Amino acid sequence: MGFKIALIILFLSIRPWVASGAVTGEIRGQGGERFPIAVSPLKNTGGNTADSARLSTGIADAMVHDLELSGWFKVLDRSAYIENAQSSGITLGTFDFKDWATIGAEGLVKGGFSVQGDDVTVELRLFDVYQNKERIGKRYTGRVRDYRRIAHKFVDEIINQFTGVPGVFNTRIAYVSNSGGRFKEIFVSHLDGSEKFQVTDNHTINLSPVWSPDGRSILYSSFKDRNQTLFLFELYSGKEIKFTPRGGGRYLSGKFSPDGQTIVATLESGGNTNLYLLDRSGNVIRRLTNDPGIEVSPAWSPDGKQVVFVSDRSGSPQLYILDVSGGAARRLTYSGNYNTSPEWSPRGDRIVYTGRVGNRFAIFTIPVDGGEARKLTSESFDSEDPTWSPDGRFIAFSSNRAGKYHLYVMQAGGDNQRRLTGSGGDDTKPHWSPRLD
Amino acid sequence: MDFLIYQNRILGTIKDNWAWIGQRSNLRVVVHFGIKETGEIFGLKIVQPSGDPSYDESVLRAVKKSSPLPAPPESYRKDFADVELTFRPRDLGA
Repeated sequence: MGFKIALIILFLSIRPWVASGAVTGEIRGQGGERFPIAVSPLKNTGGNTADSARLSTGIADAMVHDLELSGWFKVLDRSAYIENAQSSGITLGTFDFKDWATIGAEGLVKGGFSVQGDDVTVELRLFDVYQNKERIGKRYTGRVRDYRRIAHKFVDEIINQFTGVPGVFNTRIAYVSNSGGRFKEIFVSHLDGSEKFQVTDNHTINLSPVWSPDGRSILYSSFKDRNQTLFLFELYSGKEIKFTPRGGGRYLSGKFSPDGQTIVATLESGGNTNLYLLDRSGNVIRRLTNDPGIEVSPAWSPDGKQVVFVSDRSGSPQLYILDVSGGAARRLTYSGNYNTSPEWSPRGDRIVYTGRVGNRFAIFTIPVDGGEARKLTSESFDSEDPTWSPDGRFIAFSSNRAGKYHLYVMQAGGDNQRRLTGSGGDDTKPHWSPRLD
Repeated sequence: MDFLIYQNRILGTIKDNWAWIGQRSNLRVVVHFGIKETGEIFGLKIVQPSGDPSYDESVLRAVKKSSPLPAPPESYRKDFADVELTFRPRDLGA
């Protein structure tokens, strides 16, 4: 009884002032403003080294690139920074937060490095300028030449701190480029174009590179042995397996299942294309479609139970979804007369694809259970070949908006479209790696 | 009509000045303030805190940054001297 009375009194006393304003309103989510953050050049805490200037600004520059690319941060211009990065401290209490609050910074990244031979130790911290607090502190060691990777890893931590999900900047993109001339070769690089590595160099046409889910191999399609077929290339050992269809025909493209154990591939044989389930060595486990039309461009659902693909069985290329265990395919897209290149979001809820609008291609997403497609890119140029980031928050694609085809990245809703590459040739067919070590 | 136009304008301005990227989507903070006939904001205070000080601070900063707002329409000056706004975060993954 006494307890009940106490409760009632408590309720009454919680809101003694009930009247709300004459004008009330609600604001849900911030608008144009991005989180203002300063990224100080790093302090050399070790001895003198020839790399000092390059590391001090290079690590900061790589972090700035990633933070801007995310679309969530506004990185304050370095020329406005007040303190001297080499003479002020990098730990709490050894520098003045006022120097950063004055220029409008709400977040601050500071750090130091010391070089020992070919190795570098880097200490990085994120501070809350408003609350004068340290939010993250990390120490990394690695090769001096890999300093950008350390920067990418720390930005992934910053994004984890702010959003509860790590960032995706310690990842790579595989893509096709004809920058070396008229041939199409396969490359992989970080999102900022650094650590570019040429996977093929066979002076033919190589297409459709995809990552294995462990990030260690690239599956691609090539004409290097005259007949087009699939090859599985191991990045660290250089070993390669060729997939040869037993009953003749040619493999056009393939995608690893999320567990990495199987591959769904398109096989063209006798003018007919169908989908097949293969093992990692290219042996057929099971045929998935049996249709007189064209069935191409398959992609897995994140649970590995379904495949989205393109079929012209209705008269025009449209997206369909199939249970890998069997049964009839369900048609997904009904608008537009040319829809292709689907990729299933790692979050499972939407599928991104390329659709024709007039005589141009644009990127769309559509809910997995159907419903209205959302157009993410403008039809005043072509945008094609979308690929999801491993967290499903970004989409990379290729576009000719600057003349040649280059790779771009945008947020999953279409905001903050930014160019990634500029090789001088056409960069196409991007595929985003899983998170890497 | 004037009322709605002005209300939307000030909500838009404050929203544009609000920067917060946090881990939680279930936060809610209510602030109270008034707008003078010059558009200047006065008496800004938190009526219901969210429990996350960095979230509350970000909202106070957004409102302070927005001052002065455009002058309120003459016939609604009294109303806009007494404003209560609720701020909720947006899901970053959307």
